[in-house]
Amino acid sequence: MAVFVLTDSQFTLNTIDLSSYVTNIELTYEFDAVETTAMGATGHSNIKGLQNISCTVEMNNDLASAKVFDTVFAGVGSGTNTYIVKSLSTGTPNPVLTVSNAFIPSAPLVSGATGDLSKMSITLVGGTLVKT
Amino acid sequence: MDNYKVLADASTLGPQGSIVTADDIIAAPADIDLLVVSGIVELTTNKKLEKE
Repeated sequence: MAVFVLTDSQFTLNTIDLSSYVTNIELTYEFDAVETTAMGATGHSNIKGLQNISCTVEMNNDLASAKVFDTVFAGVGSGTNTYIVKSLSTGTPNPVLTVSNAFIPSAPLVSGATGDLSKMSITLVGGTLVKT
Repeated sequence: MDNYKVLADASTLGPQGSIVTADDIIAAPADIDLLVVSGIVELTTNKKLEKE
């Protein structure tokens, strides 16, 4: 597969497909670096620790039932959010990145200046990522 | 096993009004309690009838 442009990335939060609202998304796959450096070392050494996943999603807001606002509002403060991110809606290869037990610490329920498009930008933290 | 009715029209569980099982939700994957609290699904199983 050649290089490609992001035009139809998929984002599903708690089974609700919010892809058509997403304007920007960044899913970071990270592990804690657990230091194992000991006497005699000439540089730091580390081993893999816990996953430290974070995903920032910016969406156009929609107040309709079970759309952006409702889905995010219900997930804030919960550590059992599940979300799925794909780079493409279809095609091969197209890894499915599923994160379970993510936490949404906060959400800007109302944000913007006069004349702005209402947006919702959230960061999901923690959880466990599986690629299929 | 409990059944749930899909209330949302954009859920990957199925069309609005369709009936899914707890296993379907777990396989989605999703947390059942959170989906119920969110109003995405509602419990439809009548536990009294099941016992009878």
